[in-house]
Amino acid sequence: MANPKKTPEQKEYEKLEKKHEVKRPIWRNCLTAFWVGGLFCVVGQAITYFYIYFFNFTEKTASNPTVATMIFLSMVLTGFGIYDHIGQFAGAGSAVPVTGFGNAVISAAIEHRTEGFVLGVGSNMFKLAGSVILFGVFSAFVVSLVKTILSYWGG
Amino acid sequence: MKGKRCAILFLVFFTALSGCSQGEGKAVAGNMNEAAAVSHDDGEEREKAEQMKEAALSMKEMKNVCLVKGKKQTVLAFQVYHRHRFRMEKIQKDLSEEMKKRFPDEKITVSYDFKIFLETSRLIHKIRSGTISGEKAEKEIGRIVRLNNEKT
Repeated sequence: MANPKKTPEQKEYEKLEKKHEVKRPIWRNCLTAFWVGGLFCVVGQAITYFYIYFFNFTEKTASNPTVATMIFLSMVLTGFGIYDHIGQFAGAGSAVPVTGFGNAVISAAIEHRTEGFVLGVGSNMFKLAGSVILFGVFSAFVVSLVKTILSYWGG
Repeated sequence: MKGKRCAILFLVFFTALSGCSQGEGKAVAGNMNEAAAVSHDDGEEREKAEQMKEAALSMKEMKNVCLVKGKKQTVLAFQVYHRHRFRMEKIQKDLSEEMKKRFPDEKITVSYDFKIFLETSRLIHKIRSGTISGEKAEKEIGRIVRLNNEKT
């Protein structure tokens, strides 16, 4: 159990710590995350148009290969160690878009490569991304259930 | 140094991708508000296609309209002004109802999808240049309608 009362020494140390603490540039980080995340979306949009122009995909159906391509690109960039730098620079801007999913899968696979293919890569590949898949599928199920019920009752 | 290299790689990738669609985009931008009938020589059919186009353009949200009238069915693809993009489904529904009301004998497929717009525009050019036969144009309309109905 944590002691709520701090000793004078502890308080003094806290003051000293705050004095020397490097302040995080929150606004700058937010801005960086925003424009880098936006840039990912621009690339995604360009890929969508590429599929629409050159293949038989409509606006509705082009989103599927676009997502797959974006994930594949982020996986390749992670493999070459480039995405780590983008991640360090952009923070949530690189983690929130779908590319973050590819990064989570491959970085876990690389990390556990030394433990072998089955028990290392196979078991740990979806260590981070597993929760994304689980809650993604579950939330999609709940939303579709609600939509089905509402459209059935609502007519 | 590595950060700079990443930024350059990203920029090159982005430029290459955006370059892919440049020529086609310009071609589509030049094909605004066009209507054609499969039987291009038939003046009456052409006139009806023009009437349908004008009916669609009478909606204030419409920016571009591309229409191809076949013997059995008609494809109407449209683009709206950017500020109306969030209501495209509703606009499509309204336009579809409006077209049904004005042209009850025609089977019209209305779509806001960019791919349908692109394909319709290409078909119009083929019909006008005479590089496609009437039968093939009818088949092409069928293919565009099927493409529009695809869900996945």
